[in-house]
Amino acid sequence: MLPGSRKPRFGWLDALILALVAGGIGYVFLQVGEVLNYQWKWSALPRFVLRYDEATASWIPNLLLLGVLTTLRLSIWGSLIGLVLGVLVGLLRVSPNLALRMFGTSYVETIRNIPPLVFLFIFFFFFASQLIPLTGIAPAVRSASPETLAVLNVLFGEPRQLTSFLSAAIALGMFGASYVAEIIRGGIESIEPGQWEAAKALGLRRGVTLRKIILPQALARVWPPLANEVILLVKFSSLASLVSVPDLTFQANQVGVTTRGMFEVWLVVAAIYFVICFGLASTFSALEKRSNRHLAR
Amino acid sequence: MKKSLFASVLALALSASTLAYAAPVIEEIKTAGVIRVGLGTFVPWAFPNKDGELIGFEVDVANKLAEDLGVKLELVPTAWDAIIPSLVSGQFDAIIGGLTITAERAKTVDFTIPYEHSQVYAVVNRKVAPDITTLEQLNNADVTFAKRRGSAAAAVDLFPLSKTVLFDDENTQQQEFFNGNVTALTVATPTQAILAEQYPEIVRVIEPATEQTDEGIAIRKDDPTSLAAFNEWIQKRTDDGWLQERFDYWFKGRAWADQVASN
Repeated sequence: MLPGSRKPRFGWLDALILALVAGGIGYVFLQVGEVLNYQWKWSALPRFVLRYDEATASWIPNLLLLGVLTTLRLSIWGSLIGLVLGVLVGLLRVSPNLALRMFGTSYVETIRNIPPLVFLFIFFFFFASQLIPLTGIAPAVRSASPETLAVLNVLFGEPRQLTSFLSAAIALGMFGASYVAEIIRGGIESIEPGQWEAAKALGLRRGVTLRKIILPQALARVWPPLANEVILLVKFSSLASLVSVPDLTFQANQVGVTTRGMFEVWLVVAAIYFVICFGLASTFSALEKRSNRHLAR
Repeated sequence: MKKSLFASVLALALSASTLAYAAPVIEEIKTAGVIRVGLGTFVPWAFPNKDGELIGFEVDVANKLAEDLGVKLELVPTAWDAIIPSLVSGQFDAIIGGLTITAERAKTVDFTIPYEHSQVYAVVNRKVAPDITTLEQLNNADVTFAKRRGSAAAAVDLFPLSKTVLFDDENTQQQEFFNGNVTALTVATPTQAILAEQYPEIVRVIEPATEQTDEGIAIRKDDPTSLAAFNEWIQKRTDDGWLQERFDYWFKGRAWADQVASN
């Protein structure tokens, strides 16, 4: 609230808007009930999240929860790759060297102007399928020890699907990096030239100036758009289902086919994505407030 | 079953660009001790049961094939639109997923002899079209079909006057039908029987079947050694009646119904 503004009060206009919204939602549900010939079957869903395994007498995750875990892994790796690569490309974009600057610009402009799904398909089917066999990952995983497999399972999910998971994570990361690079460039260029000049006057080299003076301030300024990028990446990760990475969207499709309860599954999946993204957004804004406490004084 | 235009274009581009695979895939399978099989999710071809494990006719066929080859089986559930590009780009060794043999697909992948035969049926919504009982009546400008991509071609020839709406998966296709937005849909065996059993007041199956289709195992092109090996296996399992027995279990009866979550 701005200083001097009136204390907010619940007036007739607020009541009208609330009534309209409630009426609209109620109408949609009424329509769904009457017009759609649909038998709601919620009962089949819970066991696709967690199921009781009688052989081991324990609760184990089923398809939907496994999908959530894959989505989280995919988002974490994609974000890491995207942030690291994005910062590097962002630095290229402000490099004094023309060749490096052009390389950075080409990267950003090429990837940013292709739809994410098309980029994923091209990357997955053309590049990854030619390059990953050369690394020999797949045979190595097959002959790996149980301990290695357990570690791989925690980090990347089902080791047998490691190659497609990696391809998708790298593709997501590369896509995210093109936006992160622009955010970083914007952050660096927003730092007043006086800072560069002062550093130069002190005899600091460019690399040191960038690392010790410019980047810390730039990163603090671009924190909100970076957090936004991470949240976007979580949502983009659902595209990986189309190259058969068993993420939440892919597993939802599987469950939808087998239960024939498409609406229930997609409503639940939307709620799960919402919780993940809203949780991230809240965490990031709490962190931002915390890190800006010194500015408030 | 279906395949989008984008996927086929991609697959064609890939088959042109991919390096020729030197060794026959059957040799690679035996050396690695594992066969990787791609499949899509359709009841009762291949679908997760209540415990999230894949079951179905295709899963049985893939298991038996792996067992007879003396290798382990890795099932790779794949988005149906991406199944042919995924095979061509080497994500797995073969498609055993009820992939219908068509001339168009045969340009991109090689098919074995068929190991299963399905029929396609036209199913009419009784409430939308109470009077339609024959295939001839379906060839009418007032009739709209909901079809899945790829299964559309034959029905277009049979019902040139009707309109068609295409869908990517069974769920959305059937929902459009139950909402009463289309007159009819085309489905493959045994879906028409399952639908008729579940919704007798809405579903009317029109006899006879509109189309007979053959499904084969698909592998990457130009690999006659492997194709011959798979053909030999299919012939053997056809002759000893194993394929027919499994087919009857999944497509004629409903003994597996208690493994499905919806029932």
